[in-house]
Amino acid sequence: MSRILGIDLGTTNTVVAIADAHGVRALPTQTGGKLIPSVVSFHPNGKVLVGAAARDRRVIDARNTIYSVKRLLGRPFDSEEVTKARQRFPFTLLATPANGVAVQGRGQVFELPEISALVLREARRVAEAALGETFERAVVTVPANFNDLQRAATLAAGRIAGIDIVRILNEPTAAALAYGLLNVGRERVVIYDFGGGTFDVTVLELAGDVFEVIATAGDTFLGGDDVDRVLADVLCDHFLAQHRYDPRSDGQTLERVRTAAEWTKCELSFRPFVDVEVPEIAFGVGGAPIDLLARIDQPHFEQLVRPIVERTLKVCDEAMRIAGIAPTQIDNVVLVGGSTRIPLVNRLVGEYFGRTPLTHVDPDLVVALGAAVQARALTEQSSFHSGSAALDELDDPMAMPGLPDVGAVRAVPRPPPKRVPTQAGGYAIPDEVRALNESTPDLPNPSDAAPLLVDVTPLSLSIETVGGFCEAVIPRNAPIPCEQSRGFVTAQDGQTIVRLRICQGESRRFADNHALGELLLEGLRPAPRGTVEIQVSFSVDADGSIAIEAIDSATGVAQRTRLERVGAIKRERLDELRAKHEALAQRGGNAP
Amino acid sequence: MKSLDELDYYELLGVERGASADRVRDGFHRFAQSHHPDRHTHSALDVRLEAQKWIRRGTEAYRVLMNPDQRRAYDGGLSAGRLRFDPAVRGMTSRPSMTPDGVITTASARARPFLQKALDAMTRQDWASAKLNFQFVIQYDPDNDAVKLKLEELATRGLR
Repeated sequence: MSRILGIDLGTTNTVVAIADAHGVRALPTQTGGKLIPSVVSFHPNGKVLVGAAARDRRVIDARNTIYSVKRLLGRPFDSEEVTKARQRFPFTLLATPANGVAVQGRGQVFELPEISALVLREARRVAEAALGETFERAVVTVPANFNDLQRAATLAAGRIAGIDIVRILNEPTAAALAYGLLNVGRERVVIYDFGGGTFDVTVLELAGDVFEVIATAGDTFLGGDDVDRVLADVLCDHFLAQHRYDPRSDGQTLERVRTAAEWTKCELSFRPFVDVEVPEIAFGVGGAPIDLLARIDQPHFEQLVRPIVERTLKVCDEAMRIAGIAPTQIDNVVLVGGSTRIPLVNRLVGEYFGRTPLTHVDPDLVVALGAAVQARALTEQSSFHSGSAALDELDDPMAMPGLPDVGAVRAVPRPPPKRVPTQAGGYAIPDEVRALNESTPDLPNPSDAAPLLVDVTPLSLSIETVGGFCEAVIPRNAPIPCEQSRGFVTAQDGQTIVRLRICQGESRRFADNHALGELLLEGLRPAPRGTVEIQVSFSVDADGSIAIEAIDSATGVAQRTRLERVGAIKRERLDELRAKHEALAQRGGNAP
Repeated sequence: MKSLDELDYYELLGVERGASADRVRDGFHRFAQSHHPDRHTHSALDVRLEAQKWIRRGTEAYRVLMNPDQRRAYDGGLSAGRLRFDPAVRGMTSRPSMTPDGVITTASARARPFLQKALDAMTRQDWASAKLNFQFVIQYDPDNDAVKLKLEELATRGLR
């Protein structure tokens, strides 16, 4: 069976990683970079570009270049988020029959999981090119507060791409795994994950080789994109004031300003000021081009970013409240996501928790590396109890550079010890192993034993009651996998069907939560009202996905249940889409 | 060896009844090491399904024992022989009467005229009268969750 990849399917960038006996590595693309932009562009020549090639087309073909779709994945078309995004994105968003979201790319319609599938396929291609083997399985990460619809959409993307997603892993938990803060006794760690499109904060308790999530909170609409947007707004306002033309009135122009804003943000991570120049924003008298010229300095930038960072600290407050601890009781703070490179973020987070955050694992790669660690834990799980098969395969114990004995010291990942062929056995390193070793791992092996992860469900699962209210069946932050049953009685004589609407979220009002869809209990035994009681069991599995079963309490007969998820793609349709994508791949994209 | 349904939460997690929260957590971690699905990815289907039952009960036990209020309630029930914490003890809301379209009904003949009046008042947006009539319904049909929720809703709406 093929090995399992770790994939961080990000809003802005995607990273693919592998963990094996030689350490944990993010895999490079042909150009040597490890970030695959999560961008898909539909080229006029009919090819589909994914990654860097697609990102480059954002500024010249904004209408057919799709980015940041993760923000909308698994959201109903009529949701507030999608409505907002429709005004913001230069490409066209359409509703699917099931109230899901699709995009238009060069006249063709693609459902959002299809776009994610194209990115997943590209990640696999990068891995296959880098390692020279084929992959069919992956652990894929999602923001901790992704709801069931968003997780289901991610799984759908895997199906379309022909990749078996063996586990959906929460991003912050993955980061904790990558940091390998294991065997250090009991410790409380906060993962502050500020990415391109989402913000998550997670409180974990580490004890021995068990990682337990205590609390998680987040905002799926808060990220580096917001920083770009406020900065782009400032640049546009500046141009408008000077030249009485608003660059926002043209999608393509705005896109160029936004790209400049993103670049400015990155430069300001290590420079006191940046002179922005976007050529030919407008044309003046006699067709003379007018360029956008502006200087943004650090204090001005920080003034713009501060409200955004403060929003993240509000979310931290919430997580602390759920965990029932004070920020100062945290033993370690780990920064994850490209947005944590902004110096102000580092400073304010440090002040909030009263300690210097850890940043020594690349914040752009750390999630994928953690996914790879979990992938390996799942691959080698069978050997976990009976000693390590992977160890047995390598005669040379030095080939397995475990963590140095850390004792009371924190397990700071460091480069693996140099492999020296032992003299006694005259052990020669096989060529392919040597080749692998040439690419330095991003992390040494975090641990010989596979860590066990106990995660929680980030959102309460509730059922609709009368009057627009809802009632929690499984509370948020319950450890998973878990299950809870509820009894329902018929309210009418001869009633044979019960329809329940279910949602995830923390409001008592149904409408304020994420409606997941409708649960149908069909073929109930006809009887006088109140005499048929159905026990409905709601469960959340280790992926954070929801499943529902029901039995008739009196007869013990299983009832037919159907959960119709909002925006979900039907199973048969997924297979069709998979075939369509196979064909697309045949036609070729940026694969040479 | 006891079966899953014969174990109380303490026995399940392998901790004594007075165990501290830290001890309960350690017990749960040991329990999870053998029953979590990630420890069974290569197990046979029947083993996986059995492990699933155990881990689900284990997380239930852990959740209850880590919550001081729920643990107190559970300990009370346990001395009366109840091995699982039943959230239904909290209130009646775990048995909502559901109709296909969410219509409120009552099984009590005496409550029915008041229910009709209350619903009519709701349509007229006469919240005070609706509230009064729902209160009459509750007197004759005290277990009607739908009506209780309606009253709660009216309370949050305030009387205007």
